[in-house]
Amino acid sequence: MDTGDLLEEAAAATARLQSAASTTSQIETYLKKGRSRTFSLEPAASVVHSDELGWAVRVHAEREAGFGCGSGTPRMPALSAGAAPLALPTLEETQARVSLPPVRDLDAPLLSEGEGLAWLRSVAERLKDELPGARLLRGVLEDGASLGVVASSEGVTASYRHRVATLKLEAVGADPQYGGVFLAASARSARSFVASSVARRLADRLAIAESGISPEASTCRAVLSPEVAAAVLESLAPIFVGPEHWSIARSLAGSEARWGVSELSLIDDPHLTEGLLPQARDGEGVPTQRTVLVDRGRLRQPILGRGDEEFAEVDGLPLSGCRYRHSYRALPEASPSHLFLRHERAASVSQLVGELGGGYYFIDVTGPVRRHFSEGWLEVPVCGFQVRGQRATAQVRGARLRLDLRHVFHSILGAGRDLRFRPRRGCIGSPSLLVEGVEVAPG
Amino acid sequence: MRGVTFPRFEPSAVARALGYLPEGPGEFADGYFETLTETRLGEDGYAARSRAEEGFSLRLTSSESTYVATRDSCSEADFRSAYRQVARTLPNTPLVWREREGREVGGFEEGGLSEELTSAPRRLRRRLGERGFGLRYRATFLRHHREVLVAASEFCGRVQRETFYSVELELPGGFWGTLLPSLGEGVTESLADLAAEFARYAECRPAVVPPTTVVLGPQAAAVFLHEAVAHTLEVDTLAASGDPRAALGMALASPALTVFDDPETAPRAVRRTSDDEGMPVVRRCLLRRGAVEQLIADRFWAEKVDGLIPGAGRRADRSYLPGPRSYHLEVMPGEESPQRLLSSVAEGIYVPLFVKGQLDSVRGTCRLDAPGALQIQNGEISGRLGRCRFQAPAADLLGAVAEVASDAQVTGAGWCAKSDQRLPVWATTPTLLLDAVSARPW
Repeated sequence: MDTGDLLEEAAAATARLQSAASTTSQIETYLKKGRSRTFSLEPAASVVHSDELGWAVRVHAEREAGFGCGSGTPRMPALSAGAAPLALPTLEETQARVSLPPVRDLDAPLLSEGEGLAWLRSVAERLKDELPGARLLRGVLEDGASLGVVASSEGVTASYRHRVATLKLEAVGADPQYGGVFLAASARSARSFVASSVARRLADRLAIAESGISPEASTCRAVLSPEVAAAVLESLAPIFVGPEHWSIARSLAGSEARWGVSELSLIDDPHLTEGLLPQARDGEGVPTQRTVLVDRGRLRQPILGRGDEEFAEVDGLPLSGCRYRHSYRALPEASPSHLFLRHERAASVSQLVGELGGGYYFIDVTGPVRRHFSEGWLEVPVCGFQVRGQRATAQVRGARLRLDLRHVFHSILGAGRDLRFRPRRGCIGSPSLLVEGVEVAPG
Repeated sequence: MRGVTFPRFEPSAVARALGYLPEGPGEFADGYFETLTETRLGEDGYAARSRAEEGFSLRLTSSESTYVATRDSCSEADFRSAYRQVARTLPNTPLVWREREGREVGGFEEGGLSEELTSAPRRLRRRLGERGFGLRYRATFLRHHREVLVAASEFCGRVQRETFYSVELELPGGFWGTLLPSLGEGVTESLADLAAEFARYAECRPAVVPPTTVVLGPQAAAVFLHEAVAHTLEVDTLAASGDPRAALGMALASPALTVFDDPETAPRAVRRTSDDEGMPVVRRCLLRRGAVEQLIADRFWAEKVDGLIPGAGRRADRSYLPGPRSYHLEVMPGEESPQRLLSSVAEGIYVPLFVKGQLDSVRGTCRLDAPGALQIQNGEISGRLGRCRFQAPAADLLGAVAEVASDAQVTGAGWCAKSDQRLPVWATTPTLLLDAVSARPW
């Protein structure tokens, strides 16, 4: 089925539901068709072929509203009186033309049964080669493509095409007392995962878990891998979405609104074609646009969309479509699209490690991030390497990285060219960062 | 609004078609058909959200491989294409097609916005008001309904139904959720008690608890036993580190503990006679006086490992592979009343609930997070502590159980998340007394 057919189906469903509605209502129908293949090795080699057919209907009338979702044919949801409004965007709000540059891999075929299972077996084999005694406890590789459309009674239409592959692995070393390690990764196409580098990453993590030392408490320089830097950014993301928490960002930035060094910017770019989920319109059909939240160190604005007009008007800030559907089972919600840090002085990761002198190269996050906005700090459990004179001198586990949010972004000395995203509610990404003055502690 | 006929296919026709797929010993094929409805109601008057799904999944399994095809709609064309995917050939599908006529299920209207659900936020507010609770909170109530039927190459199952409620509370001090078989007046009453107690902990400092006597209320005991007994004895967990049968006969817990897993004695609204693979459930004695007697196994593992009994295969929905999971843990109650048990404690703490539990299956370590606890001195409640975390080998914690009270209560052990599958789990547990257990702040 192509986009036109699915749009027609959504428009017909909207008309059918509206004619059945007892009161004058705004109705929006979202339809999604997806196909995926999921491969796993444990307890036996398995392949799951899924054909997804989901829908979501929003209804907004004068005194009641409702949201329903499901599979199969769209139906009218239960409505509740006195509900907060779920008003739909008007045609006027969605009329601006917007187009994306071509996105790679959208039409590439999904992994075949042989390819998917062979890839996982290859990771398992290479892991054994990298670290004798290590084995894969669980490996799940999913490759999927989807087409979604929105059609509303207000005349709004929009379509979305996505292609995402996800990887989840758990491995254990020769001695289980050190526990297992987890690795999750996402890419546009499963074919871009490289078995040897995935196996090496797992082996590094296992080796650190087995023979790493606990760091001494110190304040030093550190290189944060994209996984660590993105975890930091992810825990800060709520203060950059909508006006609700913007005062926190302001207070952390201080009276001069300086968020970080003048080479640093924080950007939300729905059109980033090298990102995981580029889209020209948000989940309600409203055109999206690139928003610079921190411009060369200076705090500018949060991500603002429908409903934030009053806040935006005061400072003349632009609005953008930003209410995304993270599943057909969820209401569109304000969130980042591709939120990422950019540093103007980009270098290779080996150059960043070379500039460390003495310090740490933290490669992964080992637990949940703790944050305390009002006190202005954030703590990340991490693992990695101690570095002296460009050489790794010890593996480090059980480290706690404590970052002062008023200073950490003023202490970024450089960044890598290895921007990577973590898909959460929106995609959060960062390149490797070289940071000075970070507090490292055991525990 | 109309629901759907469930299942749309004639189960015997499905079973006949699947009978052509297995080719050798140890191979089997099955079809899993489901409808799911979920209605969510917010405390703050935001719109109700409903979900109504139907779909099916076909599976062909041998000891070496499993092929699954899932569909979100149920038509003859869907069935034929899914059948071809699991057969992995292009056969003339030997399907004598019959669409069923039957009663309609799965619509939003079926108990979705019932009085029991819509009045619950109001009743909770009133009960909290009666307890002088004046703090801000947010409560979300959900009703869940699911119907499942499995037809396999050798049998046709019967429709299994589950209806239950879940509550998510955002309170000063954190988030707490629980599962409930009903939302009656008594339930909102005890929910209000726990919520008010939870909020009081927010005013207390996180606590270091040196080794001491710990009394777990039935809610807390349900989470503890789910992590330490059920997850430990799931055959896929055990198989990750060797031959699962090696666990049989092992003294895992104190002799005070006898624990069953029995879906047939679960609360009536969620009672099951067959699992998500259509296999009959059994009353499975996991621990008898502390020793491991049976393991939790699904059909795949029962085919693969001699001596295991299937009937504990569960899946969150059609898009997941089934795995061995517990459903309803039942602890043999003791003879002492909980009051008597508490009064016997010279110094210790009482933990009414855990907000989170986790088993590190590789290390065998259990982690349980309490929002707070009550201090006990000379058998009397003497104060409160803030957040504390119990983290120790599951066998050590189970070995520390010194006494089991007589007050077995039906409770939701919460949402169990393992291998990305989120499943409701239930328990009938009494108060437990553990000796010399320590905790630290979290």
